Formats: sequence, structure tokens, C-alpha cells
Amino acid sequence: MGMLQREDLKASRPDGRMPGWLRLINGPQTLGRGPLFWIVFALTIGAAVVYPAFADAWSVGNTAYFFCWVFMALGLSLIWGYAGSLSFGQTAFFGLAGYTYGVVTINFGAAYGLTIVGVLLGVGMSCLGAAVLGYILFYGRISGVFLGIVTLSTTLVFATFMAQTAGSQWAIGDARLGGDNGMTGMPPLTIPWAGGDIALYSGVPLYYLLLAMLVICYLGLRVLVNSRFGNVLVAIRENPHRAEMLGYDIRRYQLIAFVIGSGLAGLSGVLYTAWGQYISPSNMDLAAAALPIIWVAVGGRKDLTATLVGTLVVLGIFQNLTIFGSYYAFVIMGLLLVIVVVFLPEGLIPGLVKFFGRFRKRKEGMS
Amino acid sequence: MTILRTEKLYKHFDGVKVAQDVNFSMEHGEIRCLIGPNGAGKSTFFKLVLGEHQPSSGEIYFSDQKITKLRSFERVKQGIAVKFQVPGIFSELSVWQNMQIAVQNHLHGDSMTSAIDKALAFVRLTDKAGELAGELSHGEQQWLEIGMAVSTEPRLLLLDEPTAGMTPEETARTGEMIQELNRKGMSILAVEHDMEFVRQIAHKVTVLNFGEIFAEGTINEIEANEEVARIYLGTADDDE
Amino acid sequence: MEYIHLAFTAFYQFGDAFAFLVLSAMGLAVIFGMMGIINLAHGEFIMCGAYVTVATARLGVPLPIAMLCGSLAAGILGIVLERTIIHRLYHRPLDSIVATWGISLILTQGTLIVLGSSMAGISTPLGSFSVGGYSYSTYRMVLLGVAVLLLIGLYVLFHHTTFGIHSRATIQAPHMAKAAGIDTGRMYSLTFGLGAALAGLAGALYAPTISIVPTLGANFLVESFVTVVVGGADVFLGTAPAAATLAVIKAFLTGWQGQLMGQVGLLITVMVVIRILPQGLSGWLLKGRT
Repeated sequence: MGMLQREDLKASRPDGRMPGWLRLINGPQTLGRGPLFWIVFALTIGAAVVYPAFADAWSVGNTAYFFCWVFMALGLSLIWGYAGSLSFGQTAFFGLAGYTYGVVTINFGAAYGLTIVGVLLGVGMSCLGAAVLGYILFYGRISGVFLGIVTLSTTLVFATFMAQTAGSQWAIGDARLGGDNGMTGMPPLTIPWAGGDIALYSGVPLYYLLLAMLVICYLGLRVLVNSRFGNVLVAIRENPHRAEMLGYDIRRYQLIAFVIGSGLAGLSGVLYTAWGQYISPSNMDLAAAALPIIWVAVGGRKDLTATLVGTLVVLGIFQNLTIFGSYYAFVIMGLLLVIVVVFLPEGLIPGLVKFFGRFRKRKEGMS
Repeated sequence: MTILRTEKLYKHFDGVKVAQDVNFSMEHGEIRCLIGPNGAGKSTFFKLVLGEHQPSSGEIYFSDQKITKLRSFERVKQGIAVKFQVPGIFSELSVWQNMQIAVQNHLHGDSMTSAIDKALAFVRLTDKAGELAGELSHGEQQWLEIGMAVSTEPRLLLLDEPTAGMTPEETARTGEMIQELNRKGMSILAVEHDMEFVRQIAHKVTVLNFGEIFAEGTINEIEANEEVARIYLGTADDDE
Repeated sequence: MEYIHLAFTAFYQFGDAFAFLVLSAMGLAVIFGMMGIINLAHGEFIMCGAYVTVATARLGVPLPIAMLCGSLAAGILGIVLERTIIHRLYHRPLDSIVATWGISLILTQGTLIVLGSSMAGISTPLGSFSVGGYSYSTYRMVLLGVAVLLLIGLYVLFHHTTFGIHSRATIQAPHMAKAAGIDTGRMYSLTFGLGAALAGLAGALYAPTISIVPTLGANFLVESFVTVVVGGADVFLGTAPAAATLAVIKAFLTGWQGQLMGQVGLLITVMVVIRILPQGLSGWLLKGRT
């Protein structure tokens, strides 16, 4: 990545003293690394852990709500930022998983840990959907803009389909699909416990669960993108032809990245559905599908940390703008996207890193 | 035993014949140069061997195994490596990462590290391991690509104009590299325009013209061949 | 008599679907085929055309003139956007699709703010005619005629006028075109403007048949995307045969299972076509021709 400073690149040569997994978490395909970064990382986690002690219930629940979305953003960073495949249809997998969670939990209830089965089935459905669609696309050698418009078209058709399921004949078991009004009445995530099941309504326990999942997911993805697999993804993004001529079946790698990324969109979908006990076609439509693109593009799609930070910041801005009306929020989001794409195509955070990198270099040059 | 052989290879492209009845063969351990005027079908032949084009008819054998139906990456895994004319390096990654992507398919851990070190030393880029590949000079980029291609120790190395755009010193150094690889047993097939360079490395030369094998022989035989001289006149090397 | 009715119904449904596919895809196809950009704000140019048409028609302007106004407004909007934003992204086609999505959001949501969530529409003109005792909308047949005329008109424009020749020269060899004294920047603007105007015309033509809401463009998107993907890069060799093929599928499935199944059928078709004809129909036709 062009924004890396020279000394960072030297570090891309593996250091024999470090154990393998630690080396993989650190670099070279991720921007933040080295002792300073990990100190800041630990402090951030610490702050996030004590946050509920200082914040009111609404803020904690709201932060948990933000966390729900980040998985989808990280998945898109993997597909688009690392593997270079434009997928504009992540909300389809979000919705598919959300509806699956609804159907499972409405029919079978929340006891015996069945909501967790609902989560797994939801994520599984989105992986399966992504595997089928991805197989057709990548093995059909679809790339570039066509990949974007076919995934977007699929999402729009799926949203249209769900929007016309208002009639009572559209039900799976007891679960009414609900058309434009969406599906409601599913239970929240419920952890089976000896002294009685714990239902995780929006609150402190859910916050901690999501925080833990987020940290695991972020670190896991860091290992993935810095592994041999991640090397190949970046090689495919930079020059797919050359990657193939080095003996890689690029279709397979693109498909795997697509399935993992879409599974994460599915995870966001089930978590969102469980959080709000609600999912509707408007979570998938054209405006909704644009949001993950904006989070990832604004933060910096080619880096997981930039995506993570960017997503949380943009979500915060978006929510504060909706006070004036969601239309205004969307207009500002659109403006933000246009400005970033035109002037800072790598995203705001890599742009800043590059800027300060140059600044530091100049200072070193003078001394 | 042949390392590479084609049998009655034909390729039609939108009605234009770009390969016609090509019966090519080269031996294990050979350095072969492929020459011919522009549009003679040299790069098409490379693309057929690499599986980027499917032949209209005919067969391709690598080490006497039929590879005609294999996909590109499968052929590469069998032991064919290629260095393209335009450097196909990953310019936003470091030299080391470029090498790692080339090698990691075959080797792991310490043996991977030592293979990379060896290949970098061979192409004299050890000092540049931490630099971005895109910031190397043109000659260094060409060498990096040769390093990537040979790091996996392929049995057959395809080189498309390996010296294009190089200074005379770089060209000579590249020739030495090729000969050194060949001494270790690698077979090499190179498309080349620079006849002096061809004289330096080639065991045998194949001349392509209009998609057909026009002549074949040692460099002396080819240079003495008046017919060959004639096809070069007129169509010409004037843009070289 | 029954057979005549069945045959005419089939023709009518095919013609309706064909016209819709051609008209909704044409603007997108011109911009993609000529400039290599997929314009995700395509639906918003359609929306602009529809809004201006309805607004001017309600002021008492005759409908055909109102429609021209709608198309013109979208064209002007297209040129303005090209000059301010799109022209910065010509060497970055993947970024341009993302940027046009941002534009799409701004235009849709901005219209919601300024004009509210819906606008009173206008009624479908020309009434109906009957064949074998069944009645059909005359206007739908007029749209079919317009679609065919538009295809012919664009063919003439791009192959037999100075604008078309300059535009194609600019697209195929920008440096040569520049050297030959063509103002390539202007050609790009005009081509983008033409695509936007065609999208606006689609919105104008369908304005009497749909409800006028800021998100109306999205209803055209899937059909236009599918037609352009199936058609490939050549506007004429691609769009017309792609629309004809897809219209058969869409008309059959829509008549059988409703609007939605028509769309699903289109989507499945596009994936099958991509699998067997990676260059689209035009790539395949061009290959077969030589």
C-alpha cells in the first residue's frame, strides 16, 4: 500500500523472533502496527470496556447499535478493499440473514439457546446465498463495474420481492414476511443460563457481547489479510492477470473472500434484527445499499482499521444529522461520498496517514 | 525428451489466422529464442502455451503431458513460469511481498524465506527488499519479475522480450542471468528482437511469420538464411 | 378470431416490454458504450425528466412539448454534473460508479426535501383501442414506435453526423481526436449530456403512467442494468438485440407470474448470458460478423 512509510515496509520482512500468529496480526497488509499502535489499541479497548460505567443507558444501547453495523463494513472492506471486487449487494445478505433469524426464532421461540441457532442459520444462509451468486459471477469471470451492477440488481430485485409479501399467504410457519412493513416480533438474542435465560435487550450485556465479537472479528480479519490468503487477495486487486500467472486460481480466492465478507454482512443483519426486533425491505433498498459503500469508502476501504474507525465515525455523523431529518442525512452522506471519491480515493484515514508520513519525512530530511 | 511440444496448433481470431499448423518442439535444458516480424504470432504463441487463449485445434504438451485443456494457473503449477514484456509486478507492494506472493504457493516458513533471499540475491535486489516495487528503476522491475518467475524453480521459463527498454549493461547482465539459470537445468523460451542478445544466449532460433514456423536452426544458419532476411525487410524492425 | 387476439396480445406485451427496456436502458447504454462509465445516477436523470414533464404539463404546456422540456432538463443536469464532477473520474471507471451513486443519493433525497414525497401526476393520454373485443392502451403502442424511432435516430446520429463521428473518434482514440482538432472535453460533455437527456426522455415518456415520487428512478434501474450488461459495450448491436431477447422473457414471465417474476427472470437471464457470452451480445455479434 502506497501510504506506508519506508520503515514500515522494512518491517514487512518477517521477523523470526515473533510467533507466527502475532506476526500476522501485525502486518504487512494492515496500516496500524508496531508498539505505539497496539498501545493505543489496548487503551481504546479499555475505554470501551469502562464506557458503560460512565454513560447513560441510551448511549450504551446506541453504541451497541453502531457495533451491529461494523461487521458488514469489515466484510465489505475485505471484498472491495482487499480483493478489489465491487460488491454493491451486501445489504441483500444483511436482509437474507435478518429474515432467516426472524423465521427461525418466531417459529421456534427463544428458549434452549434457539436464538443462537437463529444467528448461525442466518449467517449460514447469507454465506450460502453468497456462494451461489459468487460462483456464478466469479466463475463466469465477471469483474469490474459489471460485478457491481449485477450484485446491486440482485439486491434491488430481492428488496422488491420482500416488499410485495404483505399478504397473509406470505408466511413461513408463524412468521409473516410482512411486505413493506417488514417482519416484527422476533425475540432478542437470548443466552441460555442455569438461573433462567438471559434476554439481551438493547443494554449493557448486549454491548459487551457485541464489543467482544467485534474485537475477535477485527483481529481475526487482520490475521486473514496478513496471511498467505491475504497476500493473494491483494495481488489479485493489484494485478489479477499476474496473480493467475503465478499459479493462483483467482476465482477461488475472490469467491472465498466474497463468501466471508457476505457472511459478515449476514452477521450484521441478524444482530441488527435481534437488536431492534425488526427487519424490512428498506434495510436493503438502493439508499440502504449505499450506506456500507459510504462507510467503507470514507474511512479507507483498503485497510481494516480505517474501515472500522471510519464506519463508527460516519454512523455517528449520520445519526446526528437525522435529527434534522433522514433526507438531510442522506444528502450529506451523498456529498461526503462524492467528495471523498473525487479528492481522496483511498479514503480519509489513509489520506491523513500519507499526509503526516510526508510531513515526518520532510522533518527528518531537514534535521 | 521434449520440454515443450505443440502438435498442429491452429488459432483463428475473428477469422484471422494467428497460428497455423505450428509444430514446435524444444528439448529439456535448451535456450530457444523466438523471433519474427511484428504480428508474426509470437505473443499469440506465448498466450497459447500459457492457456490465455484456447487453440482452435491442435495440442500442447509440457514434458510430454498434454496441457491443452488446463487453465493458466494449473499450467503454472505444473512448472511453467513467465515474465511478461510489460513488468507485471505488484507496484504498490514491497519487493519482498512481491517475492512472497510468487513463492508462497510452493514453499512455507524458513524454506520460503531462504528461497526469497536466494532469488533476490540472484537478481541483485537484496538491498531493495523493503522498497515499493513501483519505485524501482525499469531495469530493476524487469529483474524483480525474473526473480519472481524463477523463485519457484520452474522447469520452463517463458520470457517475453526480457531486455526491452534496458541499457546495454543491463542487457548483458540479463543474458548472464539467463545462462546461469540454464546451467542449473532450466529450459528457457524467449521472444527477443535484439539479435546481439539472441546470439549471446540462444542454442537454437525459431522464426515465426504469419503464424507459421518459417525457419528453425542455429543463429548462424538463421542469419545466413536469405528468406529470413527478406521477411524482415519491408515489414521491418524500424520501430525497434 | 381467438388466435388473432392471442397473437396480438403476445405482440402487445412484447412491444410494451421492448419499449420499456430500450427506453430505460438507452441513456445508460450511450454513456457506458461511449465513455465506459456506469452511471448510477441514471435513475435520477429519469426522475428529473418525469418531474419536469409533469410540472410543465400541469402548467398547461402541450404534453409532447412538456416531455421535450423534461428530456432537455435532464440533459442540462447531465452536462452540469459532467463538468463539475464526472470529468475528474474518466481514468478511474470503478470510482466513477461509486461517485455517481453519491450523486444519486443527493438528487433523490434532495428532491424529497424540496418537493416532498410525491407530486400529483398526469393521466395517460390517447385512450385505448380494441382488437377482437379486447382493449389496449394506445399510448403503450406509441411508446413502442418512439423506442424504434429512437434506435434508428441514434444510429443515424452516431454514424452519419459530424457529432457522431467526432464523438466516436474521441472515444476510440482521444489523442488522435485531439490532434485532429476535436475539442474532446466538449465531446465528453455532450455525450454524457445526450445520455442524460435520453434517460430524461424515458422518464418523460413514462411520466403519465407512473406515480411521481422522488424514488421513481429505481423502478427503471434493474431493467436498464440488465439490458446494458446483456448487450455489452456496443450501443446499437447490443441494446436493441438485448432488449428484444429480454422483452420476450419479461413479457412471458410478467404475463404468467406478474411484474416481479419478470424481473427475476431478467436477472437469471443476465447471469446465464454472462456465463456463456462474457462480452455481451454485441461482443458475440461482432465476433460472428468478421
